[in-house]
Amino acid sequence: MTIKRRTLLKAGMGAGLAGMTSGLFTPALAQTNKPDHLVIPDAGGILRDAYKKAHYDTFEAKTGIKLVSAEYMGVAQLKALVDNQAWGQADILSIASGEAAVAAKQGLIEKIDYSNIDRAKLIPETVYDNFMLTSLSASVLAWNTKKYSDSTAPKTWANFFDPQAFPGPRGMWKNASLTMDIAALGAGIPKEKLYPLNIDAAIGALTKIKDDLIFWEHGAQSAQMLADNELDLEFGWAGRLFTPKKNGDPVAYTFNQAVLDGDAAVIPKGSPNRKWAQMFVDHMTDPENQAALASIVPYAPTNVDAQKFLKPEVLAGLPVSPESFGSVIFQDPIWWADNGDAAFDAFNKFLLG
Amino acid sequence: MYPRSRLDLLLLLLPVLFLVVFFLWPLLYIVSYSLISGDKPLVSVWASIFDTVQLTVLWNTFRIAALVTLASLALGYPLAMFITNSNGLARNVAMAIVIIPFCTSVVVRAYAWIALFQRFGVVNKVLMWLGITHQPLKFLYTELGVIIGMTHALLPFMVFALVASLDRIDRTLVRAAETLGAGPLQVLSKVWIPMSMPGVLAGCLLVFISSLGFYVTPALLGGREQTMVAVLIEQYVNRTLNWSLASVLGTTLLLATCILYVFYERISIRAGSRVEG
Repeated sequence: MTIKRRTLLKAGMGAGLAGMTSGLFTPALAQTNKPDHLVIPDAGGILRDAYKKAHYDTFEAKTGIKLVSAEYMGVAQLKALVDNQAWGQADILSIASGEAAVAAKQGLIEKIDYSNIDRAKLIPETVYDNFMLTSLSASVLAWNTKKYSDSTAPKTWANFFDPQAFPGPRGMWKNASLTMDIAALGAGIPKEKLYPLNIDAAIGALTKIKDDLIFWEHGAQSAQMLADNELDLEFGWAGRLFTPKKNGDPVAYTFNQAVLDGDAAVIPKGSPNRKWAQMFVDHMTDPENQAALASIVPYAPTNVDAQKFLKPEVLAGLPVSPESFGSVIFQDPIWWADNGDAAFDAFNKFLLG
Repeated sequence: MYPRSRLDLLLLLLPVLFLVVFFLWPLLYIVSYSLISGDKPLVSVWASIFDTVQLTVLWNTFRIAALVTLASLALGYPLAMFITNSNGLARNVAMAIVIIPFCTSVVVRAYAWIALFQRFGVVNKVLMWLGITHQPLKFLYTELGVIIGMTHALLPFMVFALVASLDRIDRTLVRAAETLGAGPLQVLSKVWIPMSMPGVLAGCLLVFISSLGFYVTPALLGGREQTMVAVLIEQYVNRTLNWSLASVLGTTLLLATCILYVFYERISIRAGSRVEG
């Protein structure tokens, strides 16, 4: 028996109230004409500024459609938006690739139309039916340069998971996703065999180092903990560690075995502006735009042609550079969307036990 | 009870409407998620709060909330006694000490504790300089860290409730007790403490209930084991989209809070009637 939640609530609470709350979010008219703007919830911060310069402003110059940033919208809010058809809040989203895959599985997003995109130029691991990565974030092995030098620092995740050989407190993200992928690599699983992820091996590796393990919650915290000597080693995000490193904080990192995920473009299911949103998705694959973004913040382009437009020193600081690309690993968002519950459950048990 | 005029009712309309639309309605909406589970049987969704993870997290939450309440009472009572028994500048300064941190964001305060407590932070540096310890002690990412941070955040609630209650105690009772030969400890145990019980109860309830839903402080100062229920709910809502389980946990907290509140009402009516009667 399935009762629709909204139906029951409306019946139970009186149609007047229900009408009032949903009325707040009802779109004025289903729109197919060219809109003057599109609303895009994105990651915010410096990444938003970079997206604005590289993609939003250039799209406006080309089409006259302005991209208006909004607060980051996760799958939970996206689900509320699609369920309530609250179109004014988002026409297209820039969302973490892991969340994009969950949204796809839940049927919350449109298919991406690749007919106007030169798909051969895009890194294959960034292209999916319902979402497309537009920039790449690297989860890297980082160390405190007061404790380790470039020659004594750990080189691999197996080293990171060996506190006898590499002593000192080490930090990881307090989140199953990425932390467990890295733990599985730390358990010695080769990158070709990483997925389906071996949950037991990942938890086993974490358990082995739990006395030396400190968890951080937010990216800013990870950079601060390493810079303040709270940690000797960590898995951090290159995009966050880049600035402290440049500013002379005792922070260094390697792209060897970096795990890549990224921000993906998704279009809410049934959105009246989907045609225009798709046009913006096409626009975000432009190699020059992607190069402009990577020159502002170290989030790597997904279009291989973008590398031609990058200065050599900028390219060297990205995980897609010729020196680094061979050793990086792409996170499999589809595996996470399908198995996230089991992985999060195992991770929570580990945290508490 | 006095007869209500039309104007009274009219004035009530706006706040009531506000609460219904922005509080009661969303709250019922959340509770409804715990009652309608879609394709899974309702019993199995509710039964999952007895899984290891949920039970451990609920136990963590209630244990930490209780410890924070005790710590706030132990620190807040002497402070409230000082405030109630002082006048002018001393009282204002003491109140300011309580109020100023209260006006600071919880996030900022959590980061301040991190700066103090970290491996080579102020506290550890001083302890090592004094020779009390040679290795930096671990305050951060432990239960102690969470309790210190949350007690600091919630202490003002306790102090406000206690001061309001202590200020109302008739001072002639204190003098009468002293005249009859009671020492300071006896005055405390026979007059101050029993007379301030409504304030103690109100403060404890306020701190305990606020602790149950705390998110930022345990997330930033806690370690592996200090996951509290708000953090788990966030995970179910945002990361795994298990809204029915999130709602079951939220409803459990709501029920616990309601039960505590009813309990408090009962006790405070009794305590109140004793004081006034």
